[in-house]
Amino acid sequence: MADASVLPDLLALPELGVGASLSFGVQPDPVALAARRDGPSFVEYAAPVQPGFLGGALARLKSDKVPLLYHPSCLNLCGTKANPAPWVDEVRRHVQSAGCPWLAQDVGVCFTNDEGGYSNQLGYFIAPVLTQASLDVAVDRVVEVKAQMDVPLLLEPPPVTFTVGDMGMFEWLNALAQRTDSGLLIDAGHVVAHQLVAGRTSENLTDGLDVIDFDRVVEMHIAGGALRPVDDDDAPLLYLDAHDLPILPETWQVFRFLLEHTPHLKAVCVECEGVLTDSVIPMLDQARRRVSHGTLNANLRDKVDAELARAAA
Amino acid sequence: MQQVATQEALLFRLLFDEEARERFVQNRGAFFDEEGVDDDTRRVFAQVSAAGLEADAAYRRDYVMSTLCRAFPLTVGMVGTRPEGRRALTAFLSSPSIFKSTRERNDAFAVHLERVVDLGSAALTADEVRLLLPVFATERARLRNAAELRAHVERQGAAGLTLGPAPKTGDKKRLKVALPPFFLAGVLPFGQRVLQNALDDIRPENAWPKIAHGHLAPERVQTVARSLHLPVTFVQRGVVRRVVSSQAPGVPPLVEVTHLSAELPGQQGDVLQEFDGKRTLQELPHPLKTLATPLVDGQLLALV
Repeated sequence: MADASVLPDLLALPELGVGASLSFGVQPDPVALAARRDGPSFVEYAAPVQPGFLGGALARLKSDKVPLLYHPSCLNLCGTKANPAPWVDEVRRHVQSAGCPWLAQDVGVCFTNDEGGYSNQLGYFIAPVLTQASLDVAVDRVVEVKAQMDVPLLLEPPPVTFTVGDMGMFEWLNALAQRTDSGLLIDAGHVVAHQLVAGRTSENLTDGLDVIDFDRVVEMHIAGGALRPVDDDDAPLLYLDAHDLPILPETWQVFRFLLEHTPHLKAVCVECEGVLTDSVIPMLDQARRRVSHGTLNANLRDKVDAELARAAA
Repeated sequence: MQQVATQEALLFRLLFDEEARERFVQNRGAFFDEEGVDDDTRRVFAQVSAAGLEADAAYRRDYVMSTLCRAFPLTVGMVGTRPEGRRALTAFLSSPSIFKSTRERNDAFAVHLERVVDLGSAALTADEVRLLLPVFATERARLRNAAELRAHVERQGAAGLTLGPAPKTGDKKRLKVALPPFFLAGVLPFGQRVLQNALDDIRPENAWPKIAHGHLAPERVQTVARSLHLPVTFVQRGVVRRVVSSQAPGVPPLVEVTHLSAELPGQQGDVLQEFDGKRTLQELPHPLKTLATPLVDGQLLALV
């Protein structure tokens, strides 16, 4: 299924284990959490593009040898507005400065002006129109970003409450990854969102997921969310991302399915910005146990088993 | 490419333009006809879930409005106490300015607020408008000051615009008292605390949620508006908190700006002009010295 020429890049990436996405400047403190025996094995973060923005905290994590993953929200990975070259270059420098082994971002429109910007200016990522024509344009966006990056790029499907177009998100995303030699980051909660929008229910949430190019999946996200009922025959439930809430059973269900189908998975990130430290640690433990039990990647299992042993020591 | 741009533009419009979205949801065939939508685009948008679209748009509305309202907490609070005002505020989301840079968008939102008040769209009483105008002028001036300070730093750096340690006794004896750069002064009809109290302790970070959830009571604002004004002179100084340089040429640095502020009783505009850099604290007449000393200690006034 996967294009063999791209796999060596992705296969060579290091196994990072189970980490956490956190916000600097708010609790739980990433530096303190990563220093715990049972803390995250890597820290994923969002921040402005300027590499120096988090100077002290990032330097501390780097000196503690905690791997870092910059997860920006400032690149247009679809849509007609091109990414200014200096803007992408600044992202490249940020990734390089933090020593990130890869770069991942939701595929969406983040800005509509000529200078570059962040998705929060539009409220959040604007998900792509899912058509063949928009796919062709998205290829241009991803290629222009990849051309300036020194590390592999992972494409993540954004969360949605509706879609526009005649293609399914995963069919569209697969094609984008294959045409641009990119990897995939799959967020289990976002998958729940897409499956519900596609008309599936809690009973058949994993149906049709085998369309995902599992060989390209390098990272997975798992996070809290909420299901909102609506009076609409087309979408009886909507999934809403809510990182401060516990992880839904439906999300764990999808997570388990994905674990059992992704042979080159390198990292699982528990997104827990705004969660109390006392809640983060059990979430990391749960994720580690599930990864240890379910992953197809023996190296990742070994890494996570070591994390479990360290936490228990 | 053109077709993608057309469909993207329609998607953006449905996400941000409440009136267009309502027409689309009520009768999408009629909407397509009225908008002259081509057959391919009709097909692409045919299956859009109305409930899903509304949920997405509501999330964006709250996020973007929260961001926009941060610079004008008291103004939007007064405008947003009634349903007409809330609608008038969110009408800005359908403006093309919503897609421009942060500075352009903030400027356009200020113009929108001005128009809302001028046209009576928020159903404010005459007393409320009299109360609101100087408050709006103060908040708008602060926003402009911050933008000008950032632009200055981008051009010339932040030298002399960051806060140093509190002035030493020796310096206070030796150096002259002056208005610092990026200093603002304006007269408000009441102290900010009075207005905040009338608006359920409104602050930049909670302004839009309070408006959206209908937590603001128009009668509390009316009471303040109808009562005898107790003017204060509101002074502010824009300072640079931090500059994070960019490494790529063409990307501006990140400039964090804050405003120090203080309220002086009464109308003190003429008095402030006395701080012209020609006299030390000791050389000022007693009332001026009394006024200036805490402002110097708080670094709202400069020693040069």
